[in-house]
Amino acid sequence: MSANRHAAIKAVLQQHLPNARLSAFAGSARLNADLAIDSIMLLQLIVHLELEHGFNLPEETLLTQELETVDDLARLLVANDQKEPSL
Amino acid sequence: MIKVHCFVSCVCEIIKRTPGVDHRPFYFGVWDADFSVNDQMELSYHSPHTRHNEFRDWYKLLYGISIEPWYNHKADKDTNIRTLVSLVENRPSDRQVMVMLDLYRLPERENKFHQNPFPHYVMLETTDNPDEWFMSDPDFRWEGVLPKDRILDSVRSPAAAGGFYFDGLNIRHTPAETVAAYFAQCMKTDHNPFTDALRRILRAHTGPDASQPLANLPHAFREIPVMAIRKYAFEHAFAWLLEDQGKQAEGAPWFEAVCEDIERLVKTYTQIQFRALKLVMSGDSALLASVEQLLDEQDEREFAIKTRLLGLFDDWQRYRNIGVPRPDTEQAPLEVL
Repeated sequence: MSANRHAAIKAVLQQHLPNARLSAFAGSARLNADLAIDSIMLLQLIVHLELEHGFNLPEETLLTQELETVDDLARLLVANDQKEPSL
Repeated sequence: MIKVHCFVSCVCEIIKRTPGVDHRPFYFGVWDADFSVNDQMELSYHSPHTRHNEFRDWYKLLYGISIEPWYNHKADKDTNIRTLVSLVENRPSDRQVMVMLDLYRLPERENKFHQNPFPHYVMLETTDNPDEWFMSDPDFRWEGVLPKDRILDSVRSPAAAGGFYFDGLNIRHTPAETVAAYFAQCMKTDHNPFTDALRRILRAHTGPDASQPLANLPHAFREIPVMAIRKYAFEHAFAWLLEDQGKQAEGAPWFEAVCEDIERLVKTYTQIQFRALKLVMSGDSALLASVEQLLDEQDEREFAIKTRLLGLFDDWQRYRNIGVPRPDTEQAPLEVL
């Protein structure tokens, strides 16, 4: 499952976020400092993961957890069929 | 304290280093500090028209120091760069020279915002090496030596145009009456300009009467994070108004609860940006009502914070035995540049 999540994150960066520094991609890569993902790119990444790859990040997580690395993001992603009730 | 407002951080640095004077009252002007919304209904934390006049006036009243503009907006960039070089190289030891540069042009400086361009104020000094300058960036809590040419290249960016200097001699102890008048001037008790602006921007991009394409909404909201952190200035105000009465702030349950609410206020702007992005990317129009709801909650949250701050301000006035009227509710409307 974890490999799927990492692969999904990488696929979104490849397809939709050309300004991200993909060459530095790794589980331990820091989203901002290593991959040059700014705050709005991070939000775009999360929405793409939800709409195209079946993973979502609960909004409360977005507000309370520090997402420093790719591993942090992968760990906190939830499969869409386990998502919180629709808004 | 994390980054809040680069101009304010620069001018407060010398105050922080002066015993007996407190920089925190100056942050009263920050939580609702000016920003702009352009003709395309896009939010911008900075506009070419920003001159920080109100901050400069109050800095003089509070601390007795004049912040002098040196940047000539009518002259070309090379002329202004020559002025900057002269100011930095002939700087008296107690003078601070501020310049606006484009931080995006200095990738060697870590910048979590990664925005292009990123106009930002720093302070500069010479070093023993004529090819290197010392940069002080209190807003990012960074200081270090960089090649002079690299710095000047970032000043040359078309996105950056501005500069000030001020002398740190004779900083005065601020009278409580002046602090109270500044608070009264800054406190907007009947509206929250930032949340109001986000609501107007949202409505300009959505619904049948939209004047702007929905697809532009993420770009219009792009600078939300830079603005949202200005709300941390509330923390400074609460802490100072408590401590100036001899009360504890840090660690006290009441203060910590207020800080949690301020944190929630800041973070909820991220949630607003997230839902707006999702609205555009998914086309799920049901999300629109949920963004509006979050904006209403933000108003409620910020008004509640302001009410508690006003209560604390009243206590402080009684403690200091001063009779400045409570903040006037008449405020100028947000200027759309």
